[in-house]
Amino acid sequence: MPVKFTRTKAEFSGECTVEEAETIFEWLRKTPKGELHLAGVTHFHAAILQTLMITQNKISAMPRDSFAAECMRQVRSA
Amino acid sequence: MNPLLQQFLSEGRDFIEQIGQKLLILEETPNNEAVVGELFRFVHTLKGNSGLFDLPILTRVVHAAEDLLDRVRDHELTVTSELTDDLLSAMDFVVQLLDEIEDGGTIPDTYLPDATKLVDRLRSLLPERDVHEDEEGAEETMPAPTDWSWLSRLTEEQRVQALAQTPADQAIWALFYLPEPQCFFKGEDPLLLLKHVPGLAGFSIRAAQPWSPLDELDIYTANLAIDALSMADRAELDEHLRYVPEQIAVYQLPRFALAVPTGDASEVPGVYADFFDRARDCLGRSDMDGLRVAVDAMLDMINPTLWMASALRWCLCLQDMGFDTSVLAFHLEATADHKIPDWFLFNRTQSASLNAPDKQAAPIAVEDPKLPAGTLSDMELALWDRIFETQRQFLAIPSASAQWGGRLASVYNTLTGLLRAKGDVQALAALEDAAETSEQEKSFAPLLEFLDGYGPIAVCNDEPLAIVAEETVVPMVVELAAERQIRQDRRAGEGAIESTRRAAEVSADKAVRTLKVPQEKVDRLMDLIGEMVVAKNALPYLAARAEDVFGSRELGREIKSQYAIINRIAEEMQDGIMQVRMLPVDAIFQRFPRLVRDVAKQLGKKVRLVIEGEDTEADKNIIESLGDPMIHILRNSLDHGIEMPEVRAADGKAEEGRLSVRASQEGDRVLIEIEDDGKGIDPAVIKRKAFEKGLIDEQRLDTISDADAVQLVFAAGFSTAETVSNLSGRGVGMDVVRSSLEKVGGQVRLTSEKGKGTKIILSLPLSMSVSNVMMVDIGGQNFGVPIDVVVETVRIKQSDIHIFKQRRTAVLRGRIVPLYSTDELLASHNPPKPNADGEYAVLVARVHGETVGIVVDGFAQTIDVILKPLEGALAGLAGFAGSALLGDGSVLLVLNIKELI
Repeated sequence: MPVKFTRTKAEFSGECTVEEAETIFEWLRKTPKGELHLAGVTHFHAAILQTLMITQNKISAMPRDSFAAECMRQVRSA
Repeated sequence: MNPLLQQFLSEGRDFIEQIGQKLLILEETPNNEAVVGELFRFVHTLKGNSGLFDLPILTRVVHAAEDLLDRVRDHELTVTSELTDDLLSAMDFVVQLLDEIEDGGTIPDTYLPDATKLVDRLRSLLPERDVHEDEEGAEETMPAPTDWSWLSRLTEEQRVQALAQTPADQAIWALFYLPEPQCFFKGEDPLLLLKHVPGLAGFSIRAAQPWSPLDELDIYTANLAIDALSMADRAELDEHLRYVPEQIAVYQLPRFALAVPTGDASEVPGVYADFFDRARDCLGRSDMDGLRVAVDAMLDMINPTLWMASALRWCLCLQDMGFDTSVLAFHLEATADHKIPDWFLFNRTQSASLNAPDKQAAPIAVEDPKLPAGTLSDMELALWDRIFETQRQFLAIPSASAQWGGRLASVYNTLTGLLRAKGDVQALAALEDAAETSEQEKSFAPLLEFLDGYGPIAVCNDEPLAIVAEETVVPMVVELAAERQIRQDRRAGEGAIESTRRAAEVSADKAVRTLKVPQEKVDRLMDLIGEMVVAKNALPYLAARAEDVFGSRELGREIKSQYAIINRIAEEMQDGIMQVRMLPVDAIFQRFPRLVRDVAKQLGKKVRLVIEGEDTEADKNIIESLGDPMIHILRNSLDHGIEMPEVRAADGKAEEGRLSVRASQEGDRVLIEIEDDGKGIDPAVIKRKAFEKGLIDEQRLDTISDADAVQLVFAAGFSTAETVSNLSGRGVGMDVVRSSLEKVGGQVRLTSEKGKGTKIILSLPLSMSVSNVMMVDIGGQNFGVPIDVVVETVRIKQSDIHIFKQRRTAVLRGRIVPLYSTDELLASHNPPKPNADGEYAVLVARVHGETVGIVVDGFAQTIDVILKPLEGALAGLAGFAGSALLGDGSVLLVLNIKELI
């Protein structure tokens, strides 16, 4: 599982596939205060990006992957 | 070669064969809907399949053909003989291409000019489609966005970088990607696609629609709108995006479009006014250096994170890129208004006036939007009018609700630009109201009302201006059409694959029942069964040994009974495998309609081809060997046999000649009759020609019967055509036809009646893999003689053999039969030996219609053998038909009596 959830934090790593979107979305809805640690992400599926767009959870670390980081910048800067 | 390509080639050939046939049927019955449908499907599938490979030339040609057929299907085009000709030649060209691919794996570029010519030719046959349909076609594809403001979402660095990487004379490709809502379920990941866009220089991701509340939200519904810049070329982009063409619009951005200021929008009051005055002044005097100084000074004064600073940096950047005052002025004015410059609008106005004779006018108009209308040149007014009118038309087209908003926005933007260019402030306000009402009412009506109210502007619409306008607008339209074409192509290609896939699913049952097996596999089975037959034939020897050597009759009998069983199974197996190799003669016959049609047309003759019994089957090798001889015979019939329509009419025959080809099975042979009702062969002419060419002597000239005379056409070096035409006089005579048929064990007979027609009968074995041979003893060695040449075997007393001039003859059943002894024929030193009663064994054979006797030492049994041609160093040996392996392991040489005598 590329996403590890704790009570206050979700840590993303590697490639996050479309299958994870549902779980992530549920967690984000239930934990609006939860922080997102994205540093280890290499790529996330568009569905996951969508969940990150809708929910406004704080991002504690941006992805190191430049493409993923640019995606995040795009969806969170607006 | 990769198996997919191989399959494409073999299927492609099948398709083309079918297409050719259907075209001919269609030419006969132009309104046959079923055939048109089928034909279109074939061409469509062929094109779709070709899209799987990198074969643009082929795809283009087939696509052009498909377009024509599409029109035929829509009843916009009727099938004429001309159209059929063009389509057939296109298919011939495709066959050439397929050959080329088979040989070299690709299509050499040398075919490009021909292909282009062909495509142009086919396209020229396309009737014009009315505009309305074109519009509909356009709506299927994604329109390029008319709003380039997304560029501001890219960082300034990204855009500067992108500019640095593109050469000055090149535009930058941009794409707008709107993934369809259900795309996640199709396994698509828009982000992954975006990530790997070649030459990706920056992108923007937005929500396409406002998000629904969290509780109702389905995260598996895609709701993204993606814009991206790419440094790659168009072909690369198309290649990358080929799976989602309907969701993507690729368009070109002029370089200046990237100059979009971003940053902190907070105002520094009172600072800018002087600057803008000064800048405008510099621009007006085209004083670039002055402008630069002013901008530099301003930049020093303000915080670099400010929006204004960014705008000024872009101003410098545009200067660096060498854009003229019009671009700079547009940028400056937008900056002065604290607006993001609408480069889209600017680009449209500019490209419209790009070719205008009065180049200066356009920039002026843009430079100061508040200029009164009077300053627009006539030329520009004409253009203005045109654009204005187009908006009206645009609104009049019914649109799907999804596109509604976009269209409204685009029309509004365009109109705003237009009015601003005219300086009509009042109208601008009215337009704003109308657009708002339109938005609220969800209808174009208020906007249309505004347009009508504004009315057509009286413009001196004199002729030359209109022409110029036409010219300037046309290139854009053409380009758009071309782009659309490409997209449609791609989509159609995918559709074809899709439909093939569907068809494959539907016919899954059928597919299981028919296997496509490479011929080598069947040949291997054939070889194996051959060995099996040989091995099986060893059993009788074994039985004989059991009896003779080991004295056990019982064992011998048992072996024989087992042999009978194995024999039966082996024969059935052989039969079964032979069946696999059987092909209907149709495989060859299907080429004929085309051939006859083309040749007849070329000669100006009218011919009807009747084919019967095309499902008669024979071995693949036999069928294949039939092709060339039959084509030759047909050509002969068409060229020399069937007369010109007027000659036929004068002779009281129907104008249309009849050429019939009939196939039937007779015992273990296939008979093919080719009959025409032409002028027939004149025996007198044949006789004279044969005599002139020295084929017969004077004596024979007088005695030869008419029936025998016509057979002389088979003699080597005989050609009766007075003039060598490009059809039959190729130096290949009927003798070649005969010898090539004889190679596979076939025979040719010809009967002809002067004035009534000619009939040629070909008789071929069903299969040539198993031959029945008679074994004869010659000098202590066994030789085989194919049983079909053997007439009888007789024993002739030495005293009955007469010698005339060293040639031995015997009288047999009242006829004189020349005798050949095997020591002469095979150049051996063992003259045939008579038996104890002083009788010679004579094998009577029929060679070229003559009966000859061959004196041998003795006869043995007849046997079925698998005849293998002599190979390698022995291949050139004349006189032998081949070799076969016998049950005891020995090799039997089979004689070719025809060659020996």
